[in-house]
Amino acid sequence: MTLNQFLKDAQNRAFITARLATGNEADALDIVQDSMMKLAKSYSDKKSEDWPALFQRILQNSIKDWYRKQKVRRILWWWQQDDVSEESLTVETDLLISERPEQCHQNQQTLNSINKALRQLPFRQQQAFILRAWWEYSTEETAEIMDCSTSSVKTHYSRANKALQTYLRGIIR
Amino acid sequence: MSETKKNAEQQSDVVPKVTHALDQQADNLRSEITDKLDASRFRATAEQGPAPLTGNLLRWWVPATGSFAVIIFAFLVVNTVDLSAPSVPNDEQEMLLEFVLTNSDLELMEEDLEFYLWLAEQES
Repeated sequence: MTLNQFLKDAQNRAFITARLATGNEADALDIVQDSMMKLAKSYSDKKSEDWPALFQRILQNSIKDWYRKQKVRRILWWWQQDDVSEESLTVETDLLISERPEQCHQNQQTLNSINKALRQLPFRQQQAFILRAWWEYSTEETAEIMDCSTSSVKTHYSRANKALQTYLRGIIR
Repeated sequence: MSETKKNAEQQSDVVPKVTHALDQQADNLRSEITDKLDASRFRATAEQGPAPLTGNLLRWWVPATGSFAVIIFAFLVVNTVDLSAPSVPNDEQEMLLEFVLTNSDLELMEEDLEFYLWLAEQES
């Protein structure tokens, strides 16, 4: 597998992961671009089997850096505390437009609710859930990516599951 | 059914639905987003370091081959110099060296030679 093929397969999921974490499309695009650049510059000579974990680690570290920058920005400009726009959480996809209007509306509402629920999770829980459930990494791989113990991953994942269940009660049937 | 079991079932029910929703979003991103992601990918792949084989070649094989070539070259030079050295007997070499170092006149040397030839004739 070439690096180009690997990045092509991962880019959309990486973007969704970053968008969920940041709640902002422009920042998510920047994070994904930086992650791709770092992987290509520093690790393109590694085995292709190592790229997924490396890319995920770079991506998660870039998201962490983004959080740190936001924290500093909030401290410096306290009046801009709520500058993270919620409008970017609204899902607009080509697929939804092609469906029937009422079904489209319902589907969009469900997707938005799921996104909001995921956004409400603390970062570590969101990270654990996305990596374990969506990217399908094992507990050990997730622990390595998150730079924590396997028991922490299990705890974060379980809490995320419980929280999502509570948030999405009545929305997901 | 126990409370824990019920909770576990409900949790496992949430996971596929959420992941399906995420898949749906990832598969149907707006074209402006996918265009930007494609552009980022092209930039990244253009910036990528040397290919694995080339990298290893540059890192290990080229210096190793270079060093080996230098050793072989040095060995050949030393041997060639030895082989191409004039195959003149040592005494003649000494005579030549003496001739060069004494800086004596060529005519005088010829006179000496004539004298020795004459002496040889007389003795015979």
